[in-house]
Amino acid sequence: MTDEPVLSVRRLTKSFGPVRANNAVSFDVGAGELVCLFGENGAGKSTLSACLAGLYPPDGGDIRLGGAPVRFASAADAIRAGVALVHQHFVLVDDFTVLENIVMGHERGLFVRYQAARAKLEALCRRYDIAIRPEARVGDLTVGERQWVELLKALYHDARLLILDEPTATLDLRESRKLFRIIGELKAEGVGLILISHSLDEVMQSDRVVVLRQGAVVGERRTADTTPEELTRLMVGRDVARAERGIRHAGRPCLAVERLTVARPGAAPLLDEVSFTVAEGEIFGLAGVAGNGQKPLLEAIAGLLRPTSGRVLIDGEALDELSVHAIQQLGVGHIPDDRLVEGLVGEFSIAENIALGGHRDAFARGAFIDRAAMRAAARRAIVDYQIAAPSAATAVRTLSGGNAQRVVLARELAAARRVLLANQPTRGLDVGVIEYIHAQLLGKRAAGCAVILASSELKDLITLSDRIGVMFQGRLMGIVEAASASLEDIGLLMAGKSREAA
Amino acid sequence: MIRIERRAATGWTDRLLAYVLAIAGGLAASALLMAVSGADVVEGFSALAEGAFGDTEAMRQSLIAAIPLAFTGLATVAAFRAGIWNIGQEGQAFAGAMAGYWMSLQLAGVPGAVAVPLVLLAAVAGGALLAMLAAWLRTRCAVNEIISTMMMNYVVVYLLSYLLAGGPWTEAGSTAYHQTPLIADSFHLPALGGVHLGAVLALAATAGLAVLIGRTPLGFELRGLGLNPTALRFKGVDVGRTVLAVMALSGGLAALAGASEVFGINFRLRAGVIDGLGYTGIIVGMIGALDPWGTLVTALLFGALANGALYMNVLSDIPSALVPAMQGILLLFVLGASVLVRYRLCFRPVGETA
Amino acid sequence: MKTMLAGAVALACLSLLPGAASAAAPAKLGIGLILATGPEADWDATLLRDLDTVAKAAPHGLKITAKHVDGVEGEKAKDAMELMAKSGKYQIIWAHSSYSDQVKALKDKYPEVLFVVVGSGNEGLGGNVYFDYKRAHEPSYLLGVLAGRLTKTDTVGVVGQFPSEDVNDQINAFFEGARSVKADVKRKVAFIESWYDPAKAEQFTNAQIAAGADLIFQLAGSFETCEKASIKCFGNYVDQGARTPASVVASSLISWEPDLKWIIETWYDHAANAKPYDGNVKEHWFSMAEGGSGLSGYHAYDDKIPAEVKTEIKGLEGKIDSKELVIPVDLKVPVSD
Repeated sequence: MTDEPVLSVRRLTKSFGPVRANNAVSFDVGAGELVCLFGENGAGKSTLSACLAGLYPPDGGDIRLGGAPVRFASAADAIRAGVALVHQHFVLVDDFTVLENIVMGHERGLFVRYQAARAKLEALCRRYDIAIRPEARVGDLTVGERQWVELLKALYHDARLLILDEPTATLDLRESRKLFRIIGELKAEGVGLILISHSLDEVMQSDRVVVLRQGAVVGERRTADTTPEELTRLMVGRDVARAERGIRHAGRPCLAVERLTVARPGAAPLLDEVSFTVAEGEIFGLAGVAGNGQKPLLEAIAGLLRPTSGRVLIDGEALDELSVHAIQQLGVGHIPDDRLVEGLVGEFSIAENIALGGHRDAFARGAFIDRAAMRAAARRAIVDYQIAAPSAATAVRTLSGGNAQRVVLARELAAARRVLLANQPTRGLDVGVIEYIHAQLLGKRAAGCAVILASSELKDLITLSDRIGVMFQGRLMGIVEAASASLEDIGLLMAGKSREAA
Repeated sequence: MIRIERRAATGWTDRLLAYVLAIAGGLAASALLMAVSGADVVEGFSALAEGAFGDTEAMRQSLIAAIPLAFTGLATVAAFRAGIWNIGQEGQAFAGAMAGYWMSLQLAGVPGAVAVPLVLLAAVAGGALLAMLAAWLRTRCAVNEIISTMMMNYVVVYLLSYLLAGGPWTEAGSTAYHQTPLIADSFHLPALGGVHLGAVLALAATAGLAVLIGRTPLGFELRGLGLNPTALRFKGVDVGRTVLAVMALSGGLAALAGASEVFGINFRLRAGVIDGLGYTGIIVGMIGALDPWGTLVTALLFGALANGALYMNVLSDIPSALVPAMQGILLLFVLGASVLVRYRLCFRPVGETA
Repeated sequence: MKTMLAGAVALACLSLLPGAASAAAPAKLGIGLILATGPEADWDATLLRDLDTVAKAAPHGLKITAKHVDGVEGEKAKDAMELMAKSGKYQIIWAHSSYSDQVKALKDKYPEVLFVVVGSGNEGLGGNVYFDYKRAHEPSYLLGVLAGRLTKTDTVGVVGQFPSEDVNDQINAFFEGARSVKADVKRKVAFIESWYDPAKAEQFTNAQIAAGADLIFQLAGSFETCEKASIKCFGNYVDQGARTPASVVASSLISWEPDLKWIIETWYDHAANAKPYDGNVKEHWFSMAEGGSGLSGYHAYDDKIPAEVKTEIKGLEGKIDSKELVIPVDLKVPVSD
């Protein structure tokens, strides 16, 4: 091994129009080193990794791999040079198998040598203990499994430098641990790794942290020499205060879920006899490993999923057969977990996204859309929710993740007069926005709303919730008082062990 | 090295410039073709210009040629903006003409002021119903609308052929052909300045569609549907119903193309006069950037080009075979421009340091 | 010698006088052709071919020039005709498909122009509009007889364009001929619903082959399909056997020469002798005996067809020409058995 770092970046600059996404960024990654890029949404982490992986040409600066200057014309160039990017947003073809997705774009000659490719893939799976069948169709995989496919794709091409862009966002705790075990093995093999993460727990597992703010490096620390508090201060440029949970206002029951079941032909039910109530002014946390029924539960309450049996009541009124729109009209807000797919129309303006759903009611005047009302509501939202956008006409797709989520919040919190359903509202967001969203959820609670919050961040659930229901394979395993719950209790329930058995 | 990048946005002036340049380029390439084949280039182009907008008569003819293309183009805009790939404008135009003709048979002796609106209404209903069938198949049975609308194009043409070839609508007489008898005068679309009512309807349809897409709740859903149907569903929009409404709109517009051809200029129903209007309408809508006004302008351009080509064919000594070749060249240039408007080519030497 | 020279000078002088001689004897004729498809369709190609022949023969010493506009229907066809009439370069406008609606709108505006409408879907308008028709039912009947004699599966097919009456007459005559020699022969008929669509013609031909037909009358021209399936077929309008000898046994032929000569004579009479136009109201067609249609030779199949069959066909041809055998014009839509 030479003394040259695997990757050396000097004064890398990249602009999009007037926006400087990366401004003279310099840092190194040594062999066997895990470097964390830490920063708020929009700080330039994703742009930087895209430049390194050949997706964008940098406007200026140097990139050296093992001491040799490189200039990638395409992602394929970068992969050939040994740089692999594991995407935050998956770039997989649903109708292809895992194997096809992995070899895609790298076929040599006329025929794909599937036998050899399969053997190599299976060896990788064994070596890193990843349970994915090469023949599985990607469209049939869970979100978590797809993340492993993305990782396998990178490993398959023998990367010297591996860039992981929020790899744990879609993984549960157990799988996240596995990922870090694999990262450890890769480090031992001398691979250089870059990790982009918002989770301080994960950040603290790296060797070195490079903190970015507004496109520039604002600090670099050896992880052993710093604290989460210091990193957070560096990132946001100020101290962060955690939102305080107010005293519980024990209201009367507002939302009742009774023996709710959503069956699927030929598969385990999505929801299996789920019953619970949420009172006014209560935050009911939903814990569970991703894919255990949290999403179907919220969607069934919102009317998006028709229950096979059982029912949902709001203030004693059954929602049977009511349309999604009618349920929203009752005062139910829903923050879906995939904001860009389920929550927002990217090409629509902020104003149009605010109006979405109300475009036939609150934002209609006669036969027409009330554009004035739409714009006024959007301008209010921009102020009230501190959305960083030039105007109400800005397309939502140009906003950072945090600002896009604020648009969803503005719309859904206004809709949630009685019930708020929030599925992973802080996923992939930076600390500043997370704090803000937590404060908003508590605000809704204080206003007497019944809130259901599903989250993969157990700490957040314990901090925010009054009670926590734990889901496993479509069943509600148990409900614990947040104030007295321990992580271990919840962890056991998440793993499918009821308290009696435990 | 060359790279293709998507443009963020293109203003309408840039778009216009691109198309003007494309037409100029297409004409230059055509001139080259003419010169190579030994034809008189000046004579050819003066005939083309004369036909496109030489005098009021030529302009009238260009306008009449543009009317049906405007309708099928708008039908394309309505569907494609919603992300519904209706390529059944052809069949819907036929269905419109057929439903209108059927209505005219029911209304024998009814005065024109009543008969014409009813015929047009029936035509719109005919095209809309056919399109809604495809929408229903898509929402209920998950049948891809590209396939269903394409297949329905054939079904409708064969149904018409049955009706016209010895079927109930066949013209009597020893020399009959696959066409109906002439339609009575009371059903003819009234003409204003030599141009039938279709021109006014096309203008109204363009304005109406622009307002609908931009200003109404249905238009809001239509655009949303094309961009992100999942988000619409999450916000309580009945996506199936919207698809149905959009297809009805698209089919109704396409139907007006067929009805205006039959009741505006030909006065009898036969396959040949509607043939190709639907497919050309798709191109017109695409070049019009799926914008109603852009589509209207494109349709006018296509009408002028078609009429200019006709004049060139008749009045100049350009060989007949060169005329369609020239139209093809122009179309390629314009299509090329429509791609350039959305994407840009970046030329960058390899290894250069910025 | 002197008188001859004087005569020549006098002739030369005469020809220089514009009003005198040319008013009585026009020297130029422009013919504008309106085609629904173009030279790729045999219906149009045969017209262009025969017009070429007639122009070369230069009747009355006329210098005949022609221009064709392809693929026009409806309003566009009307615009094209009007442009031609307005330009003054065309004395005859030959509308080679169903264009009488459009001609009706123009005929009185341009009374000096002789309009011709051709084929089914037209009406006889009279005056300066002539109504020409093409019937190839007589050679089609002969092909039917040939088919009846040659079929081994006792199934004969026809792939037609549209079920219009100048197509129906051919198909009905073909079946009539086949049944005249083999009473129980099975008939298969399909229409591609287009005047020209090779892809559809191929599909329908394959469907007929699958239905058992081993002899197909190809009105839609998909001969390669017959060749691929190793079955025999008959051509229409042009002598296909010269182009695709492996599959085409014989073809029914059409010729526009008598039609063109008739119209040019009529126009010449009007232009030179001021005879008023008097267009026919009922369609006019030239029979096989008059040269309007005919049967091709057998080309590659000449020595494969039994001599007695050839003799039989020859005999029937003679009987039709002498009107001893009259093939009825049957216009109803043919159906498969």
